[in-house]
Amino acid sequence: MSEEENKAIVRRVNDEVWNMGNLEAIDELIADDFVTTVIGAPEQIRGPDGFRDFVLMYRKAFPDLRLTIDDQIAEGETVVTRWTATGTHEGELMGIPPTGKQATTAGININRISGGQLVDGWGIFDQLGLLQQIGAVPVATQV
Amino acid sequence: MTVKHFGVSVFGSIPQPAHMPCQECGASVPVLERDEHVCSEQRRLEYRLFQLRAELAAFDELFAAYLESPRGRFELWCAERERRSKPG
Repeated sequence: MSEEENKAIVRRVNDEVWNMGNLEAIDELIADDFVTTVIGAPEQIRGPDGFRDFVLMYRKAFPDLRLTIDDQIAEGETVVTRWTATGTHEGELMGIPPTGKQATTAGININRISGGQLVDGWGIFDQLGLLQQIGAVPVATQV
Repeated sequence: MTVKHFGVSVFGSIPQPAHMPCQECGASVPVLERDEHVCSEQRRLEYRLFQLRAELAAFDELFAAYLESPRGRFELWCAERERRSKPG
């Protein structure tokens, strides 16, 4: 597949899975042996079921989650995606009760695509900022 | 390439979020634009209702329990009688 097609696969994951909550698309877009590392997460996300659980955790906490791709760079099978996500905290997130507050975070994912599916990845996003915005971590005003 | 400004200050300080929720309406507002933020009345109302959801749920339960009590049932009976007695 071309680099543009690989970028389109990642855009489909963002639009259909993250934004529209179409979890059935995961089986089409995520490889059975998919493994991704999210920095700060206690363990790697593995396979379509692991990815589904990860998406569900955030979509339950932020039902109106909107993820926007700010930039994409592709080289061979690798696609780098810089994104911004906004959502309203209406469900429990990792034990943090809902606050009704809107939060915005940003991150970068690096994915390898093969045969029209994400096969592995690495991601990092501003988890501290997200927790600060929903009041789970205090915001330091002075050092 | 245009890159949005996400970090207020990166080095030499504790990381600060680039966005924070408005205290009045809960909307996510870029920290650098908070002085220009104007709350949406709809969003402010929804945010307030969300904060009060436990009280609202408790009220609904208390009200339902009251309507099941002897006094509540009597008041329902009176209200129904009044409604039926009105012309039209």
